[in-house]
Amino acid sequence: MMTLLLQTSVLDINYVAIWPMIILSISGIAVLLFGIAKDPVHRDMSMIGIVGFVLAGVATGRLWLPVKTVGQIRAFSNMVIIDHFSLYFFFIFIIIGLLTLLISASFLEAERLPVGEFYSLVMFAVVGMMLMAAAGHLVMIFLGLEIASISTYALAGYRRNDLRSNESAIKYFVLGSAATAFLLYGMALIYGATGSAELEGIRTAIIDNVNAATKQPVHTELLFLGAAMMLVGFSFKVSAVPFHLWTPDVYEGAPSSVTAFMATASKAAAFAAFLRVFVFCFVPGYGQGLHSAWTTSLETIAILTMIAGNIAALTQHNFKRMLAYSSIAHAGYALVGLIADDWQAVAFYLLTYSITNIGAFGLITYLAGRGDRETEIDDLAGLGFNNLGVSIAMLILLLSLAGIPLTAGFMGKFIVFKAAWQKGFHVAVIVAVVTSAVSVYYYLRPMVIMFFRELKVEPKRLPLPTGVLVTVVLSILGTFYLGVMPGRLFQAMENAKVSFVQSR
Amino acid sequence: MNGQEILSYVPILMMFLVSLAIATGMVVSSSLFGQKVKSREKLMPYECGKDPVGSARERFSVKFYMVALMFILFDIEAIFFVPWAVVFRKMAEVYSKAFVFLEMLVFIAVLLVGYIYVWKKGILDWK
Amino acid sequence: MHFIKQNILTVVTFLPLFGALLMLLHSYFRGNNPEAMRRMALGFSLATFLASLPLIGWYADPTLIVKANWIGSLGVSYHLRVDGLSLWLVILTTLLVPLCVLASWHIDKHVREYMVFMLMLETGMVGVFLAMDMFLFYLFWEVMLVPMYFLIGVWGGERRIYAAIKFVIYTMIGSLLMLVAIIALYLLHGQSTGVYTFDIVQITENIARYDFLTYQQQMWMFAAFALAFMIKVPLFPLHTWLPDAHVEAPTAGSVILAGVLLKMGTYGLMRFNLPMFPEAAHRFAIPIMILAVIGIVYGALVAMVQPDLKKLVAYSSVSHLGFVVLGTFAFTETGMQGALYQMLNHGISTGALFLLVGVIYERRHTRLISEFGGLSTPMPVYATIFMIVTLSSIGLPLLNGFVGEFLILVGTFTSAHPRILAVIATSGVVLSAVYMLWMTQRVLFGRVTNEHNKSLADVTLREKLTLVPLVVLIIFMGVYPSFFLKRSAGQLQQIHRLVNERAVAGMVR
Repeated sequence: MMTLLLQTSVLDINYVAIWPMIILSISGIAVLLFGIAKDPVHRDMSMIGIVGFVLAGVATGRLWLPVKTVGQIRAFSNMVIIDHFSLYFFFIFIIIGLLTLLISASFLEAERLPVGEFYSLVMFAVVGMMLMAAAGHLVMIFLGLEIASISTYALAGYRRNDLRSNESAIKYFVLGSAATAFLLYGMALIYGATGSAELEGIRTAIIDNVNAATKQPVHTELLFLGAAMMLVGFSFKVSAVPFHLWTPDVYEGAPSSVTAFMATASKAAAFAAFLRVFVFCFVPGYGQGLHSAWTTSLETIAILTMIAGNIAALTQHNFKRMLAYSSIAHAGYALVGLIADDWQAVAFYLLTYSITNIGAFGLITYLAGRGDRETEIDDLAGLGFNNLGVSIAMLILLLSLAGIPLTAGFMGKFIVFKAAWQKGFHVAVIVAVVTSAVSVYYYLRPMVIMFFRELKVEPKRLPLPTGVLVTVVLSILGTFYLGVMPGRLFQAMENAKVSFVQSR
Repeated sequence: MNGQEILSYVPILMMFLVSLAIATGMVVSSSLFGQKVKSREKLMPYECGKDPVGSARERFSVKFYMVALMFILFDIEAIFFVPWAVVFRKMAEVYSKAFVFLEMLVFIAVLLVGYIYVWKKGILDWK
Repeated sequence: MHFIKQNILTVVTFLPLFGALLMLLHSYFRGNNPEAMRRMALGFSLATFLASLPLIGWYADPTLIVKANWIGSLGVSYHLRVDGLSLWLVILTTLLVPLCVLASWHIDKHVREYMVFMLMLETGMVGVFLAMDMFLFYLFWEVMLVPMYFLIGVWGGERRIYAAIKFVIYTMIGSLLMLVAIIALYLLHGQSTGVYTFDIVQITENIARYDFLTYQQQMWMFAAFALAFMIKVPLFPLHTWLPDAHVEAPTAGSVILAGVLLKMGTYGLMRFNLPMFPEAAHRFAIPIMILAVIGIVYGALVAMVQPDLKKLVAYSSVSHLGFVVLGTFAFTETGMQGALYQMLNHGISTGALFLLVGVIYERRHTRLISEFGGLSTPMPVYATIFMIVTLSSIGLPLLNGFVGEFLILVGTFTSAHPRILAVIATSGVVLSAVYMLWMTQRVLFGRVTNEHNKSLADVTLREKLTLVPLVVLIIFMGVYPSFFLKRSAGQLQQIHRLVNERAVAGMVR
């Protein structure tokens, strides 16, 4: 590995490029150290976390303009590529990370769980995700994935004394490791086939059909096998059918705020790496039909995912489980954008989905009440007119997930469908559309229970914690902003396309 | 592969032979000259101090795992000193020596944080 | 004046929504006072109605057109425009909403939310008729589902949840396929003209000018659009959501459903399917007309045997809307005029019928025809109004229903399509007389058999206020149809020209 690193004589150390990660790591460590002080003050740790995320966001923002002028910044011998693609995903991760902190605060307090470790794990996970999005090298993808995954495994089992949480963590760990193994095997095979583990090198090798190390033609069988392995690995991580079986159990068992984090940020990170490898490296027209092979198989996977995810969600009684299946279905929609080779569509979709979902889960953490237990849909009975604010917020977020216009969810779906239809994936789009109509049914169910069922017993609910309130308000504002005025973001992403192409 | 290359492996072969000789010598000499106390414990196969016969469903103190984990973590992290030392000169040509040294200090600082965390969490505390 | 003209369409569309927001603010600061909510809702819907009236004079004025860039990179614009096709439908909407608010005065469950949803619904409906951008159109089309869903689901009858969900799912499936067609049309238009836009006017013109859609593409897109609209209409095999939704919805919900929502389907057919895909329209005309005729007869026959008043009216809607579709696809000017006129008629008469049913339901909490009988004795005013509305629904000359049905039948007879369709459709007129008159006879006339009916109070002032405007319109539209027809003639001529010219050209090709 060292020789790979030292291929260029200059090590290319560029701390400016990874400033956001550095800031987050430092603040993560700071929170950790605060957490082991004699009397840790929750408020202080929250503040450090929030400030860390905000500073990381600022650092990311400050990279935007330089990247615009030079196209992309490469650092650490092409290990890290900072372009608008990665910066865009940085923003998603930072926003989601920040909101996760906000919605966890009250839960951690109520459960008397250690705060420092939780916050720092979230922050380390975000660092890992950033590395995945900014990876220019297969090994970097792997490292980022491991940093992110291991943190999330720990987070999933954070309620140590709760059996469901333990089950969730173990399942996530075992299956996640299996997926990682697939991924790693695929990476090795691709390295063997192309003679390079750098994304740029893989791409060049495939286009020129020359193995970078041996100068022989690229070994097609190895290449295909490797691509297939990686496809399986990534499909696991984005929870696409048939590799989705872990998702409902894990999402149901994990603490609600962690589920929120997994369903949004983890998924977005997996998609970022997925895009980097497949859209960026396995380009159309080269590699003996590699592109059509992976798009065809992913099209099938996407269709299966949309159908199975939505249909399974129809029969769920547990809110978190329903949202787990819904997140599977949403992975299917994002995959439709992926096969269209349109990273902008996928990235925008992931943003809309994450913004909406984090708000929905934020409300669930609140509604679940003590012990994170009341997550059955029936527990919402009669909430509607009793707690109008919360239920209208939930209504808006569910409508966004269902893809009703004026919300972010609609705009995301619209962009993805447009991209895929343009590329000729008509069947996938039609399946997506029909399943979206089906999905309305289960998104309406909580509303039915909330508004149409009369209340039997007056539930005693605490006032809405500030963190959850802020998250939900931000999430709703974001939902409407992206749904009504996405023009500026589209413009920014349109320009960002330039930098992605330049690197080709 | 010519004869010259094979010759270059001779030192390794010699090392094997010497280590074999030392190990055998120690075992043989201790059995020849050593004192022998034949108690129950002494005659048991060596299993790190555990009773080799009995129920496998024995509970271990979680502290064993903690120590094992810490050992692996710090051990592996310490390994990173080696590549750093190897490329130190080369890196120092590009960057300043102080910078390369500082890099390692940062790494050690991170290790130290981990150490402090472990310490404060009471994992080193065996009471 | 210029300023007013520039903004009137925006005002008409968004005034109700603005009112809804004000109501929420009001209740937040001044406490949730049902009476204030009712008054505010009535005030805002009346203001919207008044604001929409000048459109009758100005509808052809190009300064009314609002067009602003919205999402530039996608070519989505905020484009509102009123023309002969949408003019009367907008006014029908703004008229019916205040009447519905008035008719819902007695509702005392969650009044604020009810009224807010009502006003949101109005914005959605007006927006659908005024939007001239496919994206905007789709947006209003979908957003409108949410308040309707709640109106049925919260304030509806026994099986309201089932009805509400059925309504939403049916509509969603159709409209999402329409979304695909919209995207496809947008892309095809962009690829062939280089201009990526959702502008309906521009796309319609360019289709006529450049003829860039292949026959195959036309067929698919026609099918996708038509499916969405036909579910909404609803055309015969897709109508099953309608009786449920109508029956379970509260009175005002039924009025809005029948009066406006169904019209959005036929409006869409005229706005999109006919001018944009003329060849496909001709190809599909016969099957659709056959379905329409089946709907006419089937709706009438089923209506005849309904024991429930609301269900009877609901099935009569299926029958009446069949006429509208028939007239639309006759591809003659007369037929289309009749179709448009019949849309208005149906909105008014059926709206009035639902209101009338609501009046006795409020008093007796039942809608079974067998529970009533001889109502003309205790409720003479009620019976008079009921009779007028019934006659209008049957199509008695000098009342509005006659004009519409007559024009449609004439238009169908004189069209190029087989005459047998018109002949069978005519039987629908007879059947409607049968079920309506039989129903009125059982409800209004004869001896009062049920004890409860003896002491029923006649219509109150509030109820009169909701019913009288409709009765006046029924008579006015019956005697002076040209007031309405001459304003819509220009637009209908253009649609007529587009659908026929291009189709003939296509056949030559």
